[in-house]
Amino acid sequence: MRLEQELALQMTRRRFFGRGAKGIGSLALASLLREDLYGDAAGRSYGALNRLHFAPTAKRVIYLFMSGAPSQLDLFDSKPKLVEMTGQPMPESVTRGQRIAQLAGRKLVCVGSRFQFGKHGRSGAEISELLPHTAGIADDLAIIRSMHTDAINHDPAVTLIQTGGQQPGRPTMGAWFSYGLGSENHQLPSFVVLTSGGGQGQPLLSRYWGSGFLPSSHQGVEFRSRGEPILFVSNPRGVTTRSRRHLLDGLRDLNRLKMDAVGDPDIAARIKSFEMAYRMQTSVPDLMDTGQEPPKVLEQYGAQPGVPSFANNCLLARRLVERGVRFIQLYHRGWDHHNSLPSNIALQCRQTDQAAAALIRDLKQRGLFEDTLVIWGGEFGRTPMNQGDMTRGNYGRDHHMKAYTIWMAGGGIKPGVTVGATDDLGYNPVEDPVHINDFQATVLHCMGIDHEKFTYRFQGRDFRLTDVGGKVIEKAVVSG
Amino acid sequence: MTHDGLDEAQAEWEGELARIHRTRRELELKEWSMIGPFIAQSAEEAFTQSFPPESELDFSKSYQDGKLSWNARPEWKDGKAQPLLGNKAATYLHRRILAESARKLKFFVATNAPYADGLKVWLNGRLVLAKAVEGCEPAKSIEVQVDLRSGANDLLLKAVNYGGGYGFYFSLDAPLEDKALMQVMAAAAKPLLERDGAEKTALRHWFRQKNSPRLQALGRQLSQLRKEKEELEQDIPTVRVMEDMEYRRPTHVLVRGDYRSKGERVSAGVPEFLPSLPPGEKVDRLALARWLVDPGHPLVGRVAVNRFWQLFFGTGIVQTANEFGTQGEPPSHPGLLDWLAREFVDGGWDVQSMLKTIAMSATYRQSSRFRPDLLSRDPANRLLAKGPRLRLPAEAIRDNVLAISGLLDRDRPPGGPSVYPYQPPGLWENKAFYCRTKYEQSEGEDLYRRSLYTFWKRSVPNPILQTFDAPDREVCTVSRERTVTPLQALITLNETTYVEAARIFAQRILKEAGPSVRERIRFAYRTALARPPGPEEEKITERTFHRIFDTYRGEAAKAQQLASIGESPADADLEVTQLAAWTGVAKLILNLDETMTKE
Repeated sequence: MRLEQELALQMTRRRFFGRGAKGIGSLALASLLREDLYGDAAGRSYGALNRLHFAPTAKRVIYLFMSGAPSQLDLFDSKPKLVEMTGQPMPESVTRGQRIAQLAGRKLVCVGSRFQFGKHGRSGAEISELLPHTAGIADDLAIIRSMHTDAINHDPAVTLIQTGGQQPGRPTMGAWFSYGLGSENHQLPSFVVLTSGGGQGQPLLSRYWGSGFLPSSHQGVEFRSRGEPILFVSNPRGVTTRSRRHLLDGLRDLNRLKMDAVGDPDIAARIKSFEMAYRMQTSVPDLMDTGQEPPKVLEQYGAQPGVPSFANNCLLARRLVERGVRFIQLYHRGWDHHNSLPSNIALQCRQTDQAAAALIRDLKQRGLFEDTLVIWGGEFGRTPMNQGDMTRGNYGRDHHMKAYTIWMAGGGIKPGVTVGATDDLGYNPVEDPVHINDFQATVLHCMGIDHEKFTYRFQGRDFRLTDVGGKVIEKAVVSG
Repeated sequence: MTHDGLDEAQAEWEGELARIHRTRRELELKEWSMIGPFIAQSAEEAFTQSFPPESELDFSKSYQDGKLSWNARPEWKDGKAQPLLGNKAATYLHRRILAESARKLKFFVATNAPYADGLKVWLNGRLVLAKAVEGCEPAKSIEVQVDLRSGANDLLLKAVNYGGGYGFYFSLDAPLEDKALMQVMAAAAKPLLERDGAEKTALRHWFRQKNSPRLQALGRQLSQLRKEKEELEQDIPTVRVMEDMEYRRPTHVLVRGDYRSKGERVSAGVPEFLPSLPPGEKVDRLALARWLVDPGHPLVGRVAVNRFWQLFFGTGIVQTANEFGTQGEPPSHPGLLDWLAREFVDGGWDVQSMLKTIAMSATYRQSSRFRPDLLSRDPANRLLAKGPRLRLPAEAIRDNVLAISGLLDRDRPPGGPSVYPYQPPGLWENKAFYCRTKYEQSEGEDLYRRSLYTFWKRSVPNPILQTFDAPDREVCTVSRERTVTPLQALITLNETTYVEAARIFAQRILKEAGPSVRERIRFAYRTALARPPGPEEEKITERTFHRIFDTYRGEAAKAQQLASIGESPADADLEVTQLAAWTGVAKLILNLDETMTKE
């Protein structure tokens, strides 16, 4: 490359990174091209953030999103008192004036979990019998039992936890990281989305991994479990790798001529984008081929190559982490158990428990656990009050925004702690309440980012992932 | 009244009618009534639980503290789906059927929802159907046959919503006899003296409409005129008009956005730092519109011309095109902004003329070459010492390729319904919710319409436009980003529209250019870039052609595969390996940075 073009690239970089304002073409490379363009070995990020605010404890995130909202009362938040009061009316003192979803105007009756809880690991974390594998990794987790949110319905709640606001239009967490930190890999996008497949449950909208007002190159790229893994990654019928290579060689030479003639650094970006596309055509199918894994590993996850499942996606998440992908978002639907909760939740747990635990163990074994942050959780919790038929052993639960449980593990998270507590009936947090914005501040913190300083100006306002709130959950982080 | 023998003919016709009436079995379907929704804890419960109408059909009764009562629905037409309300809910529908004698009756019912919903049918208190039905449309209705008894029959339906929307659909297997004709028949069957005035008139009208030559002529004339009137009215586009309510609804500041905590009561107005509304006028939408286009308004003209400028130069004179306030950036050329705004407003808000002014300016016509001497002094080109060089926006990227190849549908006038171009299978099906979960690809010229017409589903946006930075349409977007990503390269290399366009372009090259490789290359450059290739470009392109052609030598089957991508047929006159190689060259040229860029 000629000196002037180098200079041009430098200018481009400074122009964008320095201001963080309206982008030009090359900025997309920040997320998609490797360090030889933007890299810096001295701890600087590859994205819009010139320098991290403090030393990161995690470099990558795997977010296992349990869409539909699992019942914390049947998985993590043991409430003997509630079990005792099953069938009795919920005290009005608790529910008066509260926002209630589908149970509005109905008789509110307590229902305790029919599942047994045990204390697990040296930390003695309370986990129900539905999650035997998660119980086995209890000492690696920070279980946060005092989460609360502002939204009582699925879409606004997912939007809130992903973007910091209930209204659509803001960037999602993965997009923020892609924008701020860029990618460590030159062959894969920095923000990858995997969905478990199957049409059940609440809808997944592509804006749940959208880039909002950030450049669209930061939106999550969905790796699909059926059909082409990435849209258009395969050559058209009748085009061989060899003829494609000839075409790209010609294209590169012609684009170079053009770059020499007009000196536009965007052309360099375009040339790179074609080369990277070419490499993705082999690297992505290779990545998605879980058949390469030893049978033992497949067995640990409970994954079958080629069969779309949460287990397969957990394994893919590990393969993506190995390849330096910054933010991996899994979506597993089917947790919205308004009725027949016991049988339904057991089914969901069978589909997710083993693989989630296997992922943690696998990351540990490969030395990736220290700098990978793993998150498990939904958009809100479920009510201590029954919904639907309540017969012996059968009940349902409505949406609950006042208290629920998630867990975090890995890079920068204190292992084997339980943070927060709820009242005897599991309705409100009584200890260390954690708001959605606090959770987001904590994720940013682990990645070396001060949530108050990481902003993007749009329509005259400096927006943050944490909106106008957010306090790091000190009890859950190592440096805290 | 003229004596033309019609009265006698009518009497004879009435006799015939009365005779038919005596021999026929009559069936009369009364109007529908409905009650609901009865809400249950779950859909299953809504289906199994026996709500009051199942045990008693008392149309005067109301239930649930008077909230639910029977309502007649005389406006419901059989064969037309009716939406129902309530989630996890049951709605009951009743109609009376009068049969002159016992007979069988076949009909079709559906819940008109995308999911399986529940449906039960009773006839005279006896359950004849209870099942989950499926289907987004009445086409998936289920057939029911019942035995009617002589006299009155009670048909009761229960529609249960399992989730999403639901509705109700009913139709008979065959259209019922004309109700009016039935009445006329019944009148004819009566002895003359027992007929009342209305019946006599009905019989007379019925007969004469069909038998009086004069009336028939008038009738034809009338229906012709009605048709003309209807056609005339159809040509007038429908415009929805909003108007203010008679009384203003009180509006409050909602404290911290919470709809339950109302703060100060507010009224309509404009920000204080801007000019005030014209005094004495009612503060309504019209006043706002007049205020906006007041020639003295300091903002509207400037904001508008800034966006036009942005269209041409990529960056507005005010870079923050969506923020002219204190949080925005000051203009790079304030005098120019003022002048353009003044021209625009004084020129009668003529957008075309303003665009022409900008396009013909010396500034816009400058070369877009990058100059090393400017790079350090003005890297972002805010001072406009050179012309803009910008990648085309998402829609134009695709349109451009269609236009170069000749595929672009240029024949139709602007406007018309949305179109559904190629899209990988499964995108809608995997994610969409409620109705319209199936992507039905357009056919013919609709596949090649300008991208502006591409149907946009917000939950699953078109992946091609989205990848090239088309906004997601969740919020208003005033300026788009322009990114360069490998995903874009995958589209322009592999997506069906692009592969097909490359082939059609190759066909043009082979048929419209001279026979030599060089002539063909020159034609391709001129067509795509409006300039001939430079000597070096020609050499590289020629080399690429020969290399690609070599890969297809003896590979006619592969070439054939490539030629069969896309709906438009391959030109059978062309040798298929030649076509494949030129498709490669065409794609090379369509993928050039220069082809995708406005410079």
